[in-house]
Amino acid sequence: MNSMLLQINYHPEKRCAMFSQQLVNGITAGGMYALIALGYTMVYGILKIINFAHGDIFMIGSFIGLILVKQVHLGLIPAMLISMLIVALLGIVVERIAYRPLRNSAKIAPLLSALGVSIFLTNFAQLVWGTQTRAFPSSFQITTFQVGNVALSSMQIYTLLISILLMVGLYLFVQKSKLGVAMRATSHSVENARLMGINVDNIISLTFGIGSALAAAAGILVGLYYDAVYPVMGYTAGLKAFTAAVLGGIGSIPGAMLGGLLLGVFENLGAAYLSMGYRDAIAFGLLIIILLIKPTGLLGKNIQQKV
Amino acid sequence: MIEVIKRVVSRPQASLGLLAVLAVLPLFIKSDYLVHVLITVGLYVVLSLSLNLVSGFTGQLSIGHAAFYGIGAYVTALLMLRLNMPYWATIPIAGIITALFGLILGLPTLRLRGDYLAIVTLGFGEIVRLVFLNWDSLTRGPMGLPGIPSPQIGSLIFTSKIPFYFLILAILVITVLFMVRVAESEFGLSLIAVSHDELAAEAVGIPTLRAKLLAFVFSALFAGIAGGYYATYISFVSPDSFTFMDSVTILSMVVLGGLASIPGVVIGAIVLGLAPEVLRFMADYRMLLYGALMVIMMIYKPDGFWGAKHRVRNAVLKNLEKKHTRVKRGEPLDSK
Amino acid sequence: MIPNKLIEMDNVTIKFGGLLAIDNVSIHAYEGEILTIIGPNGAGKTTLFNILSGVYQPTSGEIRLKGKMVKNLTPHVLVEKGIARTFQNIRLFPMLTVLENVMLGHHCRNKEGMLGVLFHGRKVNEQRLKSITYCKQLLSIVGLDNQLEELASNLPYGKQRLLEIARALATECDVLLLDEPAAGMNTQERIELVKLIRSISKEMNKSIILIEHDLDLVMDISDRIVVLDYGCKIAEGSPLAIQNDPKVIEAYIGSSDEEGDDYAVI
Repeated sequence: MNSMLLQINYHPEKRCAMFSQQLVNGITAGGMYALIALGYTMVYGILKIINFAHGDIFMIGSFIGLILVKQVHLGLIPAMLISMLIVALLGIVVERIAYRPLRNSAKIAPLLSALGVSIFLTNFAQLVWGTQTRAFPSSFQITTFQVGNVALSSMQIYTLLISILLMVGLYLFVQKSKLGVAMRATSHSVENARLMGINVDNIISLTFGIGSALAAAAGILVGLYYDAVYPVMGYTAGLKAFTAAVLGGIGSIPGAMLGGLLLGVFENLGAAYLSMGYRDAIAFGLLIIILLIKPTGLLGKNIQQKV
Repeated sequence: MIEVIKRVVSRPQASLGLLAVLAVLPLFIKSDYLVHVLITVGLYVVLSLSLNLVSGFTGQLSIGHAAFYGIGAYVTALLMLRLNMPYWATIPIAGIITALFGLILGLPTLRLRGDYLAIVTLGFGEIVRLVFLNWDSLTRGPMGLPGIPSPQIGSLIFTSKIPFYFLILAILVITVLFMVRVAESEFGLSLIAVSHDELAAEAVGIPTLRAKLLAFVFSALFAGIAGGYYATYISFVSPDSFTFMDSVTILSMVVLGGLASIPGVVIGAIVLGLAPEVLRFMADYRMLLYGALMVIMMIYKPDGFWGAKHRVRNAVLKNLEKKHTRVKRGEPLDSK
Repeated sequence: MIPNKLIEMDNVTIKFGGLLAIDNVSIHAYEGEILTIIGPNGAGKTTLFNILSGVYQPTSGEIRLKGKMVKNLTPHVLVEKGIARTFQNIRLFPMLTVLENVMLGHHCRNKEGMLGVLFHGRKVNEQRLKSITYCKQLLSIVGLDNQLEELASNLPYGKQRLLEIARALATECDVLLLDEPAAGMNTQERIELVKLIRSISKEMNKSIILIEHDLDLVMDISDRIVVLDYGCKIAEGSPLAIQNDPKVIEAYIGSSDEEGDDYAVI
């Protein structure tokens, strides 16, 4: 139940684990992981803290999208946009309440606070929406294309397209826009950014907002793709997305994208050859191994501690 | 107010008095249920004291502590069920095996700090739980291991809750004594030094890796022994009892009481251990409260209620100067 | 009688990625001598200390302590072998007391072991008492023996520096590395510091290597001076020789667009 990979629901006739098929599946899943991973990496880049609650933000985004589609009868895109907005606000509020007061505290404080927020959000969702898994209805007509050995569904294409669109959008924003430059400056050095006149508090809020919005988008995509929304999904997805961020190099935006992709592919390939139950253990194991061997990840920089 | 309480509680007579009260308590309690509550609280105290060694004293945030609890429980269960070992023999074995896992978890501290280490401990906790859940041939997976026998001394089997109560009391006393001894020793000071500033600790000759590993080893040891007790007390173990949420619960007891503070952690364990019973009507909201509690504690009372500010200063001196007042004058300057 | 060479650094180089921080530097330090390392900011002085104390491993070159090669040793092992240091930005244990900080310095000489921790035999207690007495004596040397219960973070800045020195002395080191011990001290405190350092050097017969920017203090206290600039040793000798060395003068005054003018050269 904890596993994101309820593939079988989706392709009942495609149980065969053909490499290219798993590759395509992996890339699609990777795109979604990347969207979540971006939130982790951006927050870590500036504040040097791991936002434990980020996975639950993703989950809330998924639920809000679900409600907007199911009960408010919105179309998918409007639901996604509104959910992204609401969740962005949620992320900003969380930062304001639970992390900002602890900016100058010992490292353990924001860590525990983030943990507290995560627990709060998960249980809040369980109280409000129950612990059962819900389906994500869509009026989508899903067509499947055969491309050589691989079955490609329109759902996968849309998911991948939206993921790529959002990632490109983020990349352009961070590279070209004035705010984006400010974000990058702040992640290099908060002090220097402040000295240059950048309103660091606002930039931090913006970072949380964007990261949370992306997570919300991922939440809706995931809910749709696997046709499952449940309160604990944030925990597992969060941990895996964090693995992706670390794999790519925490603090690096292209790293998060690369990491997400790689994790999606590894997981799908590995899952095809390993038993169901241990599938989640792959991500955890990978995480520990990376942290031990190269904590800076693939695209990360080594930071020497100044004595 | 806290000052007065603190002064009263610090006197050794207070602890002995408390012990005496606890020893005769079961005679006055008719309700089996209440004894069960006390035993549960006792277990939590042992668990949070063990976590305190690593996260409080040594400052290494560990959020997978329930894994050690579980390893101790499963080892004991398997030894008693498959090899028909008496409970008493399983104690050292479960302790040592869990301690070895503690050593394994401590090794990453060589290269990892803070957040990263926390994630590794989280991953460790999850992997252990997943192993419990999936290694069917050994652990029967989600079905768990039922029918674990009770301890027996000679031909006397632990049938009622009372002997169990005294057993956990004994374990608790030993744990507290151990922790107090550590707190009053240079070893304990070296752990605190490592948690403050590891680089500086190395620079004054403290073997920081060894210190951290020892902390992890003993922390796991006591959690493992608590786990073994749990197995024989409840007589059933399953992966559900050793989840991330359980790790978080134990951590909140340590945080509430005050990292590194022994009386604080004990009180934190008692308060949060009793809370589910007292707040029974709010059972659904309990974890919600824990989450909010952690955020609030970090913002307003990061030291816990009984934290670093109330630490006994120069505790190492405590018993020393009283006993050895007949030290000769004119001792050589260099103790080389 | 020729004093012993306690430290021998020969042709030590360290590179951080592409950055050459220390370039082929050789320095020897003797028992009972006060050696001061000076140089403009960024010359590599603290890096040198980090190498000597085991925080960094040199890329090439040899280091000998009391005649024996030391290589790839962790800092705490080097402390056991007899090198101790203080830090440019004070690194005391803030929430521990004055006495506890110093006792931690002496910890490496008390082989207590876990059994000793748990069961206070008479032997353990005696050792502890001796240790505490020793630490108290060190504290009285630096003038802090009336504040044993004070938290380190509550001390005024100058006293914190003294506490750090006492802590380093508690390790029973033979070589003491002091990184800008006078920084932030007022005139009176500096006078006391000079007296303290002299007595450590001559009466305790330790080798002291000092990094300092206060050139008056440096000229007053040093037996020998080494000058670093851009990671290279550009001069070495007595205070008088250094004062008149044209290379040193140039390094400090430098070209017109540098702001090294807070260093008045005599």
